[in-house]
Amino acid sequence: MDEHQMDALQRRLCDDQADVVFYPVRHHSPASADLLSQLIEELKPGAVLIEGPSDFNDSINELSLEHELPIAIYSYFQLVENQSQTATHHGVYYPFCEYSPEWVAIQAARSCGAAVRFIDLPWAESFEHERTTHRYADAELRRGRYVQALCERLQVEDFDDLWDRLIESQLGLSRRDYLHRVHSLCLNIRVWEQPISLSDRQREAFMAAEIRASQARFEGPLVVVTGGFHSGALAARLSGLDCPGSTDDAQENGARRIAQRGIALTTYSYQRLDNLTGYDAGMPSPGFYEYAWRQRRDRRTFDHQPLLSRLVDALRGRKQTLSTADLIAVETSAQAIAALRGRPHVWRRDLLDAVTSCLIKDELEYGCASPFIDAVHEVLRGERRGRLAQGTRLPPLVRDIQDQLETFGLRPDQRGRQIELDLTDPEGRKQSRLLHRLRILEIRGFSRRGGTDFSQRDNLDRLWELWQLRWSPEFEASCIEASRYGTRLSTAAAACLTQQAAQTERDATAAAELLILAAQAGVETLSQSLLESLERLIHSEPRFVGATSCLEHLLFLYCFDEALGTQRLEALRTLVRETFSRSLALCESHGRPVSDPRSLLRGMRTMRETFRRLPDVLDWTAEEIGDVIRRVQSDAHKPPLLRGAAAGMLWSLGQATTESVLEDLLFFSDPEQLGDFLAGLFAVAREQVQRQPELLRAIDQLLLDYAADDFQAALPSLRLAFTSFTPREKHHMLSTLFQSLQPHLKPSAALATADAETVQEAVAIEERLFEAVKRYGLERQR
Amino acid sequence: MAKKRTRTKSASSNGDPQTLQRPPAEILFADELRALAKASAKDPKPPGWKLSPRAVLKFVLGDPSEDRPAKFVGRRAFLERCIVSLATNRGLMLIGEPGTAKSYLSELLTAAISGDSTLTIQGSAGTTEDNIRYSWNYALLVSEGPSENALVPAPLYLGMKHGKLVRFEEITRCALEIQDVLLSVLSDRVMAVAELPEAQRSLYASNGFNVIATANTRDRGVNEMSAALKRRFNFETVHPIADIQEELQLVQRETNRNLSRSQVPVTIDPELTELLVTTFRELRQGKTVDGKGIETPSTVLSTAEAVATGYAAGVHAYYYSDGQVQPLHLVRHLVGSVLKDNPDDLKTVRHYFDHVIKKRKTEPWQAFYDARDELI
Repeated sequence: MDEHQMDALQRRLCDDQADVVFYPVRHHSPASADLLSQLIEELKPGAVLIEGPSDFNDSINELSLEHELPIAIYSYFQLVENQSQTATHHGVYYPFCEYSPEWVAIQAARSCGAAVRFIDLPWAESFEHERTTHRYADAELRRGRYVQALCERLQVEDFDDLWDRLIESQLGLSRRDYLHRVHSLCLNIRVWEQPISLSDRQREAFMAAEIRASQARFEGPLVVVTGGFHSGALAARLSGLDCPGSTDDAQENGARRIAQRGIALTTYSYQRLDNLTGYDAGMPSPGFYEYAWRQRRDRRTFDHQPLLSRLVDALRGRKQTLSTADLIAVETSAQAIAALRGRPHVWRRDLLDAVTSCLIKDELEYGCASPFIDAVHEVLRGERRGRLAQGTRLPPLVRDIQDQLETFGLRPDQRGRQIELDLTDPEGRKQSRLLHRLRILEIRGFSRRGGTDFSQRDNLDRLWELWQLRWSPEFEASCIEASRYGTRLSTAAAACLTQQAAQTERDATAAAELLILAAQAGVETLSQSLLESLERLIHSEPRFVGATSCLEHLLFLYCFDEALGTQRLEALRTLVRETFSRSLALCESHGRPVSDPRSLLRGMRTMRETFRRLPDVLDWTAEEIGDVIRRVQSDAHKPPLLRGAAAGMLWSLGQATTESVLEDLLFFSDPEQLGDFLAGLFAVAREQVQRQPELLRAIDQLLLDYAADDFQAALPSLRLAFTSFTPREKHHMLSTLFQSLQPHLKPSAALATADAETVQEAVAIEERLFEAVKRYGLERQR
Repeated sequence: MAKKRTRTKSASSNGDPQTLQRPPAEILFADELRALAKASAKDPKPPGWKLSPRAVLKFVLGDPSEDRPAKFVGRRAFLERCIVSLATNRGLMLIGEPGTAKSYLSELLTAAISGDSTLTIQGSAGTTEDNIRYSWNYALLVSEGPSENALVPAPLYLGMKHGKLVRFEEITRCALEIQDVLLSVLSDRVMAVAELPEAQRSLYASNGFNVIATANTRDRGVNEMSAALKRRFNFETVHPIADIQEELQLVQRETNRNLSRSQVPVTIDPELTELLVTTFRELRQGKTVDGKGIETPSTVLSTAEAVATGYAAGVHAYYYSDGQVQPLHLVRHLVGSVLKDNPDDLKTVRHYFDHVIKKRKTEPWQAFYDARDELI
């Protein structure tokens, strides 16, 4: 495309008196919205064509009900692979807020009697090549070298600032200038960012065809409201000009078919709008732009001070000290920063920077949230939540819940009832999953009264659950409330769990509990983002015991579970692997004493067990684990219990010989330490200990060398160490010991039954006896 | 008067900048500063400033249209805040991990704004009021009595008198009472010289005076600042370089420059620089390049440390082996950078090798991993 062609296209685009006026918007931009409503009022077009889902055109009147914004159109469908018959669910939002150009266009069109039509390709037909879940995102505009170069030239940080600088904070910007700037910006982005994606081309072809059809259908001029990125291509297609990506190529239709399609209004919130990042990111800080929009509508010059005072209230509400002097400093800085950036008034980023600069007296860690900045963002975000007008069709989630309750015969009634589910029965499992999902979403009227406890796992003989179902007046309200998490029960439950995971910090045990919750609600709720946040939790767990208890849960779910369907589940492999690595790392760095030393042993046993059961899942070989554990074992700062367990682990993994274990034993011959060391060793290498009589002999030898006091000192911890064996095991060990010491004696004779106290008494008497002998000089001369 | 002094100083300061081991920014970039001053002569500027705020920004961040590279790698909004703080009645406090170029940034800012980066107070446990305000020439004091002639000005005095920026390095290393000397100066902008006769007793700050302090977040616990003083500063955190490409270029350039300066004819391969920088970044951020979380050691792994490690590896390779820097050399000197006082850091690094580096099957990562036994 040469310069000449570009000029021609640009001229066509900026012509606001043509039959078809192409109005470029940035979605959710108040400046776009304001100038657009002026254009529609002046032009009185026959129809306003908007980039929106054309499959919603039949219900477009629903938009004129008395909704409270923000709301969104949600388009969803189920995709079935022809070959495997597996179904996946997909959905996308088209959010509207009060200052969205699309919304304002609908209002303006209605007040001047123009028709309104959505002209975009239904999402189900173009989604294959897309990654967004939010149709009014700025992905096309944000990326790319052109924007980067322009930011550098204009000395701004990113696309948001660039837009504010060029359009949003220019309050006196005329429509002519607006059209000129936005068209030229978007056209250049398009030219620089070739090739244009297939989905964009498909959509533009569809939109162009819709515009042509509307030209025939409606009298008078048309206003085409689309994202600026598409305007150029549409104009080129309609007036035979040249523009990158304005040709089509043959469409292929894959081996999949679309089943169950739907589109409906649902509630939305500023919080969701602002939290979107990456491909889904749009204009940030909706609260700020809503404020700017209102000021603009009232034709007032922009005044940031009410915002600043709202900010001060929010911060003081959070018990932050904020003196008048501080406020003066913020105000001065904001003005100065705005001046440095060449702006006549303080704008979003200036306010943020002034607060950061003047009020924060601490280090801001990179990439970490600061509560202070969070509060500022919260004020700029606003807390508006949408509400659908009476008479709107119910959001898809509500219908999904009702359908599923109907299918499984679980609809609650006013009298209430209890049902018992058998989790080994597939039907019972399905019902249980449904109920668990409702419980996660806090839908009123369903409570779990009893059943198998999968996080304690003390009794897995019987897999069952008892639920109480009773209709409550808040049932429907809570369903609508839950719509914000999604439109299908499974995805909504997954989103809710993901949010819970995101609100937890550094706690692997909590991650494991969430995982069990998700497993109970069915493996479909184990979404990728949930797994990622769980992984993050596990990674930040600081305690060895926490990490290994999580590993224990995972081992159960991955190896032994029979009811939840998580056995050998592909998605869990990464978690198992990561938790194991984390446990190993924490084992090496473990230093603090723990309140319950037994939990250390339990952790070590879990680790050994995981390796033994799942060597194919872990990315560690026995030698590599041996290297790490050997370092633990030889670290003099570690407690003897852990070192004993480490020795046991090496032994049972075949990474240490019996001789070396015997040598280690000598290290711990101190009566203070022997018991602890043995407790660790026995707990982890239980079988090896029984198979090797040498070890018992060596222990016996050590004990014989002890003076009586030493023996008494060592006794309690020794006794504790041996409690990990069953009586039968103890009997077996002792008889082998006797056999090897005194082969001529019958074991049963040697094992006279006597309780511990009698033995202790005997030892004491013996001790006194020998002392008396010594005192009288009667001991035998050697 | 003030103008005269600066001019004579820069002209007479031991002659040729080439012979200086490290010329200050205002000498090193004298031409650029002159050009910027000329270009921005008509722009509004705060009283007492040599350049307009926009020209200062251009000086620090470079200007692609004039082919001047950035002198400091950082976000634009951050620098805008710093410069604006200096134009208001609050001082600027740069805090951050060691080795994030805080002092260098303060040098650049003072050179651009006041044309003089030498009014520097070095904070330490031994800093006294004399080092900050003024002291006396005792011979003159005894013979003439207290007079301006007998007074030996320290940086703060000079900065106030001539309307220049004063740098206070490592302010939190000083004792609290010494830090608080700044209190009245920053709020009332006046320094009392009690010994002098009535008419000369108060030194009022000229336009253009302000303070840039730097503090190290690792040391801040030693002498926490008073709330009163905090209030008089705007705090800005200097972050490690966010963009890996920029850090790579910086490390590559600085390492090779250090090597050639110490006459070691060795250069470090870009491949190895990438390995070094990636290792430092991952350990610093607690996150691998593919987004997995890892443990971070307690020592600071700044860009400056990466340069030092690369430099040491180069020198090592030149004197003790065939002059080719190998991953082995990097591992050896990594130990020196990471292991400062906390023995647990070594475990962290070892785990990082076992867990992250092991999986990277390409060279030079494999060689790097194979050298892990050097981590002792």
